[in-house]
Amino acid sequence: MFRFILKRVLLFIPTILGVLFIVFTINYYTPSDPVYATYGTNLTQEEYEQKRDEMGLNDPFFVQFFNYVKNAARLDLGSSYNNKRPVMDQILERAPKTLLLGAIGITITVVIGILCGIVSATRQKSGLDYALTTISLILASMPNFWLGLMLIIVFSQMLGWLPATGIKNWTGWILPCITLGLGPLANVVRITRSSMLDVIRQDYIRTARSKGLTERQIIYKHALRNALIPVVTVIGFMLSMIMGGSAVVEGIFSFPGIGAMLMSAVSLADYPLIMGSVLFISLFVCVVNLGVDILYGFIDPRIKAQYVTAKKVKKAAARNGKEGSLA
Amino acid sequence: MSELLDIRDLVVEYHTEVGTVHAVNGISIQMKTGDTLGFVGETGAGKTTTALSILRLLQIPPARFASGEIWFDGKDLLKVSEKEMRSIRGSEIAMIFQDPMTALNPVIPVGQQIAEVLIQHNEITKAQSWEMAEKMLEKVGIPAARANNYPHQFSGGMKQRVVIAMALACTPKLIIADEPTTALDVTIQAQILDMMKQLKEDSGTSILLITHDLGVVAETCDKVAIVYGGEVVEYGSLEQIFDRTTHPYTVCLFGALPSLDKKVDMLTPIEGQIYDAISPPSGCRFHPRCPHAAEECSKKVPDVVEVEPGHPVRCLYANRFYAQNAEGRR
Ligand SMILES: Nc1ncnc2c1ncn2[C@@H]1O[C@H](COP(=O)(O)OP(=O)(O)OP(=O)(O)O)[C@@H](O)[C@H]1O
Ligand SMILES: [Mg+2]
Repeated sequence: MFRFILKRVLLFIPTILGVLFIVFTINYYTPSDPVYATYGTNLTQEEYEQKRDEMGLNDPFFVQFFNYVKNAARLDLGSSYNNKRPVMDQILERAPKTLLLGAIGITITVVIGILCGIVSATRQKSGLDYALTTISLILASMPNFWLGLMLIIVFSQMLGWLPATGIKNWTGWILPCITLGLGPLANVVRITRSSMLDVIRQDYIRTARSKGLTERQIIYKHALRNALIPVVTVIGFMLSMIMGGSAVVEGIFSFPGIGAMLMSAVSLADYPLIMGSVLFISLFVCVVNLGVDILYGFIDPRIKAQYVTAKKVKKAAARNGKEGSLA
Repeated sequence: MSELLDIRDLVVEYHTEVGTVHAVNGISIQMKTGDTLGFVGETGAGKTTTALSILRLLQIPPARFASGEIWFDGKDLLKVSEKEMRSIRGSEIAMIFQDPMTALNPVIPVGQQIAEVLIQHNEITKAQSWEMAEKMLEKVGIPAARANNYPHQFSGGMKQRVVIAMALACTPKLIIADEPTTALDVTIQAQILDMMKQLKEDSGTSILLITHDLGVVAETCDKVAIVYGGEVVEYGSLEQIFDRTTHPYTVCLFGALPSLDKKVDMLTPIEGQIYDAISPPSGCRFHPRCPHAAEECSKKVPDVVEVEPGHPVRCLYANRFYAQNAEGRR
C-alpha cells in the first residue's frame, strides 16, 4: 500500500510538468508583452531592451521553461508582473480559502447527491423519484456561471438575504459553495440512482433478504457499498471539473481564492501568477485523485488486492514455497 | 405427524408488458420434518418462483400471489406480517441459491456474511457470532482462517460451501436448495451433495431440493414432485416415481436421462416447444408434447388421480399408464 502511494506520488511529477509545459507554451506565444505588463508602456527603447534581458525573455524557449521549473522546484514561483508580490505568498494566502470552498462544494455534491440517489432508487417510480430526477436534470443543464448569477439576482438583489460578493462573514460563503456544489450534484444523483437500482437487483441482495435482514440493513450494509463503486469513479472524474468550476465561481462572486486570482491574472497577462495558480490547481487535482483511488480500494476489496505490489506477491510466494518444501 | 410445509393450490403470476406469465398454476406439496423432497422440472416450470414464494422474496409487482396458501409450522406465510416473515427468513427457513458466483456480497468478508445471520436471529455478541461463523466454515470444509477473505478469493465450489454454511448457521427447520450444484462442475457437484446429505443427517432439517437432474434426485431425495407448466404432474416416494413411473412427462424425463445400461449415444430431448407460460395450451398443459396425447387431452383439464396411496398423477389416463408401465417393467 505504501509503495502504491509512493509510486503514484512520483507519477505526479511528469503530470505536473506536462501541465506546466502546455500552459508555458500558450503563454509564450500569446501576443502580449511581459515588459510592458510589468513596467508600463512609457519606456525608452534601451530601457525596454534592458528589462527584457533582465527578465530572461531573450533566452531560448526551452531555457526559459527549464529556468522556471528549476526555480519552481525551489518553491520560487517568481513575482506577479502586476502587483510585484511573490506568487508563492499570494498562493499561500489564498489557497486555504479555495481549498475550503472546494471541500464544501464537494461535500455538498457527494452527501446530497448520494442521499438523493438512494432515496430516488429505493422509491423508484414514486412522485419523489420523479421530482428528484427532474430537478437533477434541470441542474445538469444549467452552466454554473448562469446558476451563480441567478442565485445572486434572487438571494442578493431581490431578497437581499445574502451578499453578492466578498466573504466579510460566513454568509458570503453560502452562494459560492452552493453554486459550486450544485452543478455536478445532478451527475452524482443520476449515477447513484442507476447504480443502486442495478445493485438492488443483484442476487446477493436477495441472499441478504433471505437472511431476514431489515430493508435498512440491506440498503446501507449490502447495497450501498457496492453501489458506490461506480459513483466514486465518477466523482474522481468530476473533481477536475469542480476545480475548473471553482475558477468561474470565484470570479462571479469575487471570492478571494486561487480561482479568482487566476481569472484576473489571465486578463492581465500576468504569466507568473497564471503558472503558479495552474501549478497549484493541478497539484490539488492529483492529490485528490490519489485520495479517490485509495478510497476505491477501501470500498472494493478486489481493487485493493491489486495495490499489493509485485514484490510482496513474490515474497509471499517464496514464503509459501518454503513452507511447502518443509511439509 | 403433521406437515412442516404444506403448500395448497399456490397460484403465482407475473404481470409483464408482453402479458401475464402464468408461472405457478395451483401447486400443492407437503413435506414432513426430516423429508428431502426433490422438486424436478424443466427450465421455466416455475420451480424458483415456488421457492421464492415460500420465503416471500418475489418482487411484487411484477409478481402477484393470485391464490393459495403456504402453511409452515402452523402459520400461513402469505398472511403473516413482514416483520414476522423476517424473523422466519434465515432462522427457520433458509435458502441456497442457484448461482454461488453471484449469491455472496463481493465487498463483505465471508465470515461476516455468515455472522450477520447469526446476530440477526440470536441474542449474541459480535465476537460470539464471529466464532460461530468460523465453526460453520470448518463444518463445510473451509479453514476458519479464511473467514476474513472476500468472495472473489474463493473458487465456485468453495463459494457454494460458504452459502451452505450461511444457510445452516441458524439450524433452520427447512432449507430450500435451488439447484445448488447446477453451476458447478461434476466432481464438485458430488462433493457438495454428499456434504449436504451429511449435514442434513446431523441436524435433521428438511430439504426442498430443486433440480432438473434425476440422478441427483435418486442420490439424495426420499420424495419427488415432478412439475410441468407450474403444476405438480406427479408426486410420490422415490420408489413410486422411479419404479412405477406413470405420467408421460416423467417418462419423457427418464427418456432424456443418460443411462449406462440403456446404451444410448445421445440424449433424447423432449420433443416440441417448452411450455409457454404466457399463453398456456388448453386442456392438459403437456398435451402438445405428449407422445400419447388423444383428442380429449386438448379439451379437458385433467384431475389429479391417486394411482396408489401417496402417488397422485395429473393425467386423464393415469390409471392406464400406471398399469402399463408397471407391466412393462416386469
Ligand atoms: N421476474 C419475472 N418477471 C416475469 N416473468 C418471470 C419472472 N421470473 C420468472 N418468470 C417466468 O416465470 C416462469 C417460471 O420461472 P422460474 O424461474 O420459476 O422457472 P424455473 O423452474 O426455476 O426454471 P430454471 O430451471 O431455468 O431455473 C418462466 O416462464 C419465467 O419466464
Ligand atoms: Mg430456477
